[in-house]
Amino acid sequence: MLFKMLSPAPNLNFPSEAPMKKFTLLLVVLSLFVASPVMAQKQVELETTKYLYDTCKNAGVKGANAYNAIFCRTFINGAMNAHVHLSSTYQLPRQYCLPMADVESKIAGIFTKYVEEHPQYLNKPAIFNLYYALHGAFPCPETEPSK
Amino acid sequence: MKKLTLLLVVLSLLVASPVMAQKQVEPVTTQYLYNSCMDVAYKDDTLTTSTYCRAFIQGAVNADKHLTSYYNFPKRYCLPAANVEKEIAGIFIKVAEENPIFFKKPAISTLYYALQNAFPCTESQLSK
Repeated sequence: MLFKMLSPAPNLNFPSEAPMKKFTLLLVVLSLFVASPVMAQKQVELETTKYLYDTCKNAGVKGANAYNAIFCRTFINGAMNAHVHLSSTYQLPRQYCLPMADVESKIAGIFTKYVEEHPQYLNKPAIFNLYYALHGAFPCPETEPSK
Repeated sequence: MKKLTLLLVVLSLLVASPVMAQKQVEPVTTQYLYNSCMDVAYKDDTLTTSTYCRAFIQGAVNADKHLTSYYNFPKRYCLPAANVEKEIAGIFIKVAEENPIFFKKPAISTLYYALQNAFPCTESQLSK
């Protein structure tokens, strides 16, 4: 059925059989790609470290691009809200423990510093490096990791 | 003098409180995220409020995906395709409007509730 649908219409005038075979093969390959279960089940892509790094790099600097600054801070805020919610709902060990002082404004800088110091993780998702950066900067005391 | 001592004791207890010592990020309220997401759904997609809405959703969804996989607990929702942030903003707004009691609750719990209802996982998705 698939091949029948993909067969070129009879009135198409191909100069020879070889290019027609190539054309049919190309269509089959393309259709398989489009109909692939991998594509059908595609989920939201994880944000790349490079993208978050670029938006966070100058987020705290005066005159920084407004979009970048808001994206950086709010992505981090969303991820941190999720961490609180999920670790509490599922009783998961916290990946980091924020100190008493208000450090939210420093987290963009902590993330960019971590990425610069760990270029080997540049191809990992941003969320991975963000949590590792927070884990390194704000480790949980040994008495309360599972709270 | 007694009053001053009492005040100092109360303040020191507050500062030394375990609740304070374990301070976490202040939760964004549903009302706050709702306001910023209204611009994504109905106004200008390029407004700073729209950026806030989409970035918060992305951060929350990325974190959920990462932690679900890291701790291997069951997925609660399965998003259908890439670039659905705008659709998610609309779904979040609808759930908040239908459940006004949520407005004072954390945005993150309303968001996950909305995603769970809008994008339940099929059995085949859960088994993967």
